[in-house]
Amino acid sequence: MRRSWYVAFLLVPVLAVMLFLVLPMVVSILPTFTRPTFGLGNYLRFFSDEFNRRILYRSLRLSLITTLGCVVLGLPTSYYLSMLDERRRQILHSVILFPLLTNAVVRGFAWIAILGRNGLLNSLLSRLHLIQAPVQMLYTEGAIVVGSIYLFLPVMVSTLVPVMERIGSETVEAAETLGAPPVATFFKVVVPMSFSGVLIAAVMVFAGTISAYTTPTLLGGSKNMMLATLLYQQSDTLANWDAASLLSCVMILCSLGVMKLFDVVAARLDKRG
Amino acid sequence: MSYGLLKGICVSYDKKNMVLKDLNLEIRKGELLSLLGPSGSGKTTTLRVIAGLMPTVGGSFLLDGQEMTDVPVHARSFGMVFQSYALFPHLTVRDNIAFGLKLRKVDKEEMQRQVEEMARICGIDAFLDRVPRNLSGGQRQRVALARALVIQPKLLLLDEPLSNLDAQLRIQMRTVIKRIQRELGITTVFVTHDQEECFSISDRVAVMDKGKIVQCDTPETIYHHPADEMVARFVGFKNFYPASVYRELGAGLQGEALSCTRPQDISIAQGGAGLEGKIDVRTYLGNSYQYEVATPLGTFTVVSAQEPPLAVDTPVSLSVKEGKVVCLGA
Amino acid sequence: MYRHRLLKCIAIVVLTFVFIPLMLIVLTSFNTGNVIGLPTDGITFRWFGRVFKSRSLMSGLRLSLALGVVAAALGMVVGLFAAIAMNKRPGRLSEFFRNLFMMPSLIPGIVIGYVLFQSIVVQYAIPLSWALVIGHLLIVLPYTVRILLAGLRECDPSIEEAARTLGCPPVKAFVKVVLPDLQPAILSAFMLAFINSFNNIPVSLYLKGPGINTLPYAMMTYIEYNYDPTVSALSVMLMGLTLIFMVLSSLIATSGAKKGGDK
Repeated sequence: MRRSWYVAFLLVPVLAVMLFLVLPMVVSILPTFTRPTFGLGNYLRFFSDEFNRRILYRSLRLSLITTLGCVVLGLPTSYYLSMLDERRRQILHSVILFPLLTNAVVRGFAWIAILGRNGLLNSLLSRLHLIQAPVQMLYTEGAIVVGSIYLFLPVMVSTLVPVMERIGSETVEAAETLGAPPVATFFKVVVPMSFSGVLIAAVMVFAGTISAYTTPTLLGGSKNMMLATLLYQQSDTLANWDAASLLSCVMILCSLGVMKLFDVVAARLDKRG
Repeated sequence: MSYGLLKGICVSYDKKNMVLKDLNLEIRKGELLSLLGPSGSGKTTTLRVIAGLMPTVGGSFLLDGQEMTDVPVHARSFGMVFQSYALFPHLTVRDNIAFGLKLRKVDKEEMQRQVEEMARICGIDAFLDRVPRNLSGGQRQRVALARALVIQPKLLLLDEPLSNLDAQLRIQMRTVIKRIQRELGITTVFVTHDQEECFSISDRVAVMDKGKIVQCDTPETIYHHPADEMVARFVGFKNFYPASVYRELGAGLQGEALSCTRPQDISIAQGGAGLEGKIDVRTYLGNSYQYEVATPLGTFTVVSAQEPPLAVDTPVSLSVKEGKVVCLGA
Repeated sequence: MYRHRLLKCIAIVVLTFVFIPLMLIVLTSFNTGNVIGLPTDGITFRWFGRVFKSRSLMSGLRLSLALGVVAAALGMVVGLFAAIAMNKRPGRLSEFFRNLFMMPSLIPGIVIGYVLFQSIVVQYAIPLSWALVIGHLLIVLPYTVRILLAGLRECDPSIEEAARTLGCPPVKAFVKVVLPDLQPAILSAFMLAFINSFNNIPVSLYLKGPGINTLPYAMMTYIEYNYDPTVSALSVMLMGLTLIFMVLSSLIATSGAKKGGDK
């Protein structure tokens, strides 16, 4: 392929990404470091505000809890799926995959219906006489975590199943012939061998949760804001561009920072093993 | 006699390392010429240069007196069979074979006739309406051959066409190729890394190594008079030693050049004259035994059918059979 | 299998957790009452009718469908040319471009929406409908590029070369033999691109205006002010759409796997 064709074929997408994403990002974010003075002043000032700081901590904390929850639930599930025969695995895999392709609003809405004040869970509990008055479940941090785990568990499982398949039943059987009971096999063989896969999936979940907008809006309400909802509020409702640009930079750093961290850890592991 | 001529061909992927260095090759009308060599020797690259699929950085390619170097692939009209067969998966066997004819605007009935004729010659007339995925390896091979031949190519280029088949089918298919090539009298260039396969069907063989042609001759000449150590190893010589040690082995020649002998051309005996040594390893080959014999001149490989076989650690003496010493570079 | 009883229990709990909420939504869409609840006294289909009567939801649906098709088609064409170029000239530069095209999937959606709004609407003053197309093109680009490039890399390069030795000029060879071979990748890239555009919220969030609201945004607004099963009914319809897509793509995958047999 001649160079001129190469350029022509790539021109449109490169221009699109450069003009509408890279350049605007630089134009928006650069001033947060230079105006009014050069340095991190804007950032320090922004996070000296108790309210903003709380939102940053909440975002990090809830993303971490969500990630851990996805790992704890996703790891055994994907191991179980990988041991099933081809047909059953495919059926269950599509059950997992289905929510992944469903609109996040629909999925958030499902949890509103379940957790709401007059929701399904409250009416079930009161009918069982376990509670007297409806319990506040929606618009709490817990609701955000449940909704986020629900949102990202499919990502975790569908990333891990191929990893588990690669470990292969022979390795597991080898461990068992050497006298390891199933629980020990799981923790001593399966978990360490799938570690890098878990790490990749965990990064995806963390970055996804910390940048999600729909779930915290629908399930967290206005009291439990996260970075994404704060950014939208600052830019769309308050037209505070400086704060929005600053938050953009923070969010990029949070999600890309985790990926970078992952690269470092992965490189360490490579050296070790 | 000369039909195709490659002159001073140079190929380089990155402008630094040469894959082909000043390569010269003559192709004679109607012959089956093989390019033989280990992987990475440049044989497939040479074939792709002939096909026009590989750009060159120097040299020229003449065919029938015509300069071909700047003729694009699709205008060369050479038939090529690829290692993976490269059948078009979405077309039936019939449409695969007719592909080249359609591009040549051959009329419908004539095309039909030619496709069926070629399918009959290649022995696939029963599968014309199947798609490639429903064919066996050998059948795919024949379709690829028919597709390349039906356009009446000026040259037939075969790139390791047999390497994806199992051993028995390989022997059968090489006979098929040879028969069709004879029948149609088509000039063919055949790339392979299998020495036996190559010698069995070629009129001439060009042995390649590190981007150069080391020797180009008839199979018989190459088999008996290899040009250098690499060719010698390729055609089954295992014992190499300086010419001055012939005397020890009972041959009695002079000089410093390297000479060599095949394992079956050295006699092994307990006691008697010759090079003394001790048996290190014995392997059973079915109709004979192969011995690795440690001698003061290094390890020799000897094949002997003698029963009962000699035991490991037996002291033996080796001697080269009459006239079986080949002097390299002579 | 008794050895893995504990594992099985966890897996069942997780699968239930993943599946139940959507099932509940399906049930609530048939509720006869005016609130979201399980249909205890009979079922009704009137909420499905309400979806079609809601002007905001229907206009959102129309816009999202049109936008999804346009963005996916555009992303396909642009992505196909880019993938061809990167496949033909592999190397550092192509790897750099590939990473560039992956960027929209790595940067938080809300940030993309915000900077797009800042540039397209505020600075370049491009009309909103065009802005939406550009924004959604950015969203689908990572998917089309990744799938098409993988598809091209899987194609046997000899197939194209074989067509050329038989007399096809390069462009014709690509159209006649590579493109048919690439068909499964093209279809699945299109579907994934469509779904991602159709489901996107953060980018559309900023690029909205009078009469220009995508379906997810219209749904969010509706949920904010109403608490009735209309959204349940709409959700059921969207799940049906997802199901159709999943069945289609698994059919494509199996036909692709069959074809893979001859390589």
